[in-house]
Amino acid sequence: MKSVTLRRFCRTKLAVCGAVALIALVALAAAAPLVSPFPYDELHLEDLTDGKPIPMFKGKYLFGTDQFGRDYLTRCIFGGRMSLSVGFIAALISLLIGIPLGLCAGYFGGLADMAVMRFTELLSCIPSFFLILIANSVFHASIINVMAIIGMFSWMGICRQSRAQCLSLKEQDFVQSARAMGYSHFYIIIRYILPNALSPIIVSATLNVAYAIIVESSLSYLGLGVQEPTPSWGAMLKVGQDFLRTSSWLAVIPGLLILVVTLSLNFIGDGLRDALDPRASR
Amino acid sequence: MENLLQVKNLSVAFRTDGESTTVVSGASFSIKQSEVAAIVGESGSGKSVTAMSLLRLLASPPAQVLADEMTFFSDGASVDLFACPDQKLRAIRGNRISMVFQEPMTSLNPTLAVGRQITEVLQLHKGMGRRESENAACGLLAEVGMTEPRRQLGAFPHQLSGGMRQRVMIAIALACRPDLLIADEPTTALDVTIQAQIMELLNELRKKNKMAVLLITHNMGLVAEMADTVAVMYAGQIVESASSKELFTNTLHPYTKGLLESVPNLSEKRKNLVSIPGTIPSPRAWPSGCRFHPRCGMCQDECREKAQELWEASPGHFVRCGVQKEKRGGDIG
Amino acid sequence: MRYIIKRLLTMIPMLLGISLISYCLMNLAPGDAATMYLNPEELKNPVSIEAVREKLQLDKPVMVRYVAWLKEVLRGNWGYSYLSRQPVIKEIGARITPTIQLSITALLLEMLLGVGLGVYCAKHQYKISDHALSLFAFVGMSMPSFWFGILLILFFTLQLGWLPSMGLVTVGLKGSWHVILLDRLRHMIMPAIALSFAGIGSWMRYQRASFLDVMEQDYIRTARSKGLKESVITWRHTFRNSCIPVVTMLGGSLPGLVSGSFVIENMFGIPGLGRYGTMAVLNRDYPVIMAVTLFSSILVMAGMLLSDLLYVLVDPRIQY
Repeated sequence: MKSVTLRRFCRTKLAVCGAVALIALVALAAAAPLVSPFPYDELHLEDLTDGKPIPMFKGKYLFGTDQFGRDYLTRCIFGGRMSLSVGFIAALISLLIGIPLGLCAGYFGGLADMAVMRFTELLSCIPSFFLILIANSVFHASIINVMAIIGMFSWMGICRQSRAQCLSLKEQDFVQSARAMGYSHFYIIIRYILPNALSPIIVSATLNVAYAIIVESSLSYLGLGVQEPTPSWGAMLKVGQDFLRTSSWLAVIPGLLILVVTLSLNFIGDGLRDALDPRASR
Repeated sequence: MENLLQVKNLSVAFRTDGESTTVVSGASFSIKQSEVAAIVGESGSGKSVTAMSLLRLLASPPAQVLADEMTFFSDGASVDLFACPDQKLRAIRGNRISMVFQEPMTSLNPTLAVGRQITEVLQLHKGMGRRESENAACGLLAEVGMTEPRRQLGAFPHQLSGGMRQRVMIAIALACRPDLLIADEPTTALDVTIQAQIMELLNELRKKNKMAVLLITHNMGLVAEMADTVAVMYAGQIVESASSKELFTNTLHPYTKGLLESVPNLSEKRKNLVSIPGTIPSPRAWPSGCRFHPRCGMCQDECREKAQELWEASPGHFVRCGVQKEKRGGDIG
Repeated sequence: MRYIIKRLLTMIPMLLGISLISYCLMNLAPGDAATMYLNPEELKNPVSIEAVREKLQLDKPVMVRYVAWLKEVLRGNWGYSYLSRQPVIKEIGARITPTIQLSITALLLEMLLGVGLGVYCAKHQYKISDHALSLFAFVGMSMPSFWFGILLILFFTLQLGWLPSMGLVTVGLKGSWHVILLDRLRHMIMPAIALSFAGIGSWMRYQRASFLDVMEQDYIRTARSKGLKESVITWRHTFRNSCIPVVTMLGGSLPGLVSGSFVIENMFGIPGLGRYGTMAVLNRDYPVIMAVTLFSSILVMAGMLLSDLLYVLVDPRIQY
């Protein structure tokens, strides 16, 4: 069954392209200290002329430098480290909150279901970005906090989806028979419901990673994310915007990188959806 | 009586993933004016696809339809349904030939009031105005036995029961007083008691409007009750065709016999209800030779290898069975 | 009508919950709100800090302060901004209009373009144009809106010089009403496009899938068997039914839209709720944060209610 899924996934060319691009970027980010030509916070003020950023392909700087003469390629790689890790870990946190809540709400129903669903609805009504903004201003802006906050306010979709899956699964015969066998609720949820509910949730999880990356860069763009001198794509965009007239690449490159990552994730999600959908025939 | 529809050598194939599977091969039949012709067969025999291809309702791709002739005679002129341009076909659809489908639950548009679904046909083909078409639709609803037709015009399909929806479908099909009504298993999805009502209604309306009906069904009892001529389909081929009387009194093809024996019959007290062993083969792999041979009690070696041809056992009675031909030949010779 | 009243009533506990969540969240903050209230000069004076603490009741437990805040709000007193010392409600009133304008313009763009292109794709399934537009939809969905905004500014303002990149109106512009209107539109167009780009992509994909699904329904076959023209089948029969699942997306897309406006307003310097809220967050201007949270939630809820009512219009099977 796994190999069928894999084969179906590979048939969608875009998804494979996305996977390749993402793996390449993740590898680059993981190996950042090894592959980057300079330390990310090393200033090269002496190379600047009139304090202006050095353009792309000039001398030893492939992507040029920012206004402090820091190598832009290095900062892009380290920024990717930041964005990707925030994206994946925040999505993981949202899964860790959303799946158990959703499964329990769906499985036990009644009061538990009502409480969880009301709470989810409540949180969905507040524009989540603003909540994240508030939380982020309240806590010290470290990478761990940013991950936790984004994860804590983006689990609602996952929760709703797990609940819906659980509701339809628990009526099915194999779950009913497991109940008749006298297994504990916990065992049934873990061994019978979760594995069968997982595939659509995995698809949402990939999209959640993309969402988390965009939120992180939005935060950094507004100056609320990880602080200088640690690079992040959002913050680099913000600085780039100030130099838009003269050094537009400073804003174009980090944005392009974000786009490549989120686009890859969307392609992967779409490919996974097709590959995991038992009804998919086209 | 004159021919209304003549189909020669109709074949339908579906093309998926570069593979072509033939679901109907070489079907020929004709329907005379104001008669009831039935096509009988199990699900998967290609009977619905045959009906659908007459009005070119199969989505293409994946469907590929071929026919030597598909001539429809109406108002003294003839139209080749297979070759005519779309525009001409649209003028016939719903106007001269209309269809009633199997699933009344899903065959009506859920977002349009039933009245609108009737009036749009009238406005299109009869050029009626809004008022006029509404009055006509109201009359039609009364004709198909809906109570309070004026009020029902504003009803939405979800507010009606399955039987009521099928009545609406019939009203739509009847709106332009067509020459031919194709009824594709019109009662299969309904309760047994409603089935009888709907068939009675169809029969009554058919007589009143002098309309020919092509009845697609798997129900031999229904065929015996209504049909003038019958074509039995198996695995995409017509295996036996004759007038209804001839077919029921002088059944030749073993498959037809099997079908008849599987009908519960109250007048004739039979000990056991017989069913045909096995299931209908898949179009992806029709059996070699006679397509019925794996399920046939009379099967001979020859049947396994040689594809069978239709032959005329008696005037107007065609059978696709070599064993019967030999027997007959022996009897005569 | 009764349904609307019922829905409005259920909004009350929701708003209470939202206010409680955000109030508690804010008060988790380490540090002293009084230091935010006072300017650096005043901060040197411990007496005034004490006075402010007294005034803001900072020594009381969170719940007591929440109840006190709530009582005042119910009386119509939303408090004063720590920063500007102006009544919050007055400031909100001035800033909510641009946000609503921006959101509605973006929403309309999303719906019209998304739905239109989605139908186009479905009608041309598997053709080159369908593939190209699907790719475009993916790019839209993945595009960080603020980067797209930057690109727009780079191209239309800096390269071509066609559109202004900042603010809502040209300062000091005078003229007849259509000059003013045109000026407003010129200011609105880039933010609206940047804000709606992601939505266009998802609406498009959704509409396309839904349209294709409806095209395979039995009643479309019935419509075809009636001899109706392809255009009538497309619009009267397929389109309307394909909108039903899409309309449900309307409610769900609103929080994202309002969230997006927080960034976009900052980027294009639009004096709306989002920019106001961001400033408040950066300066820990608590009364303003509370008000912005509640008002943006009300915006979202009102939009959801509207989308539910729209649902009734589209699907006759739904009745409240």
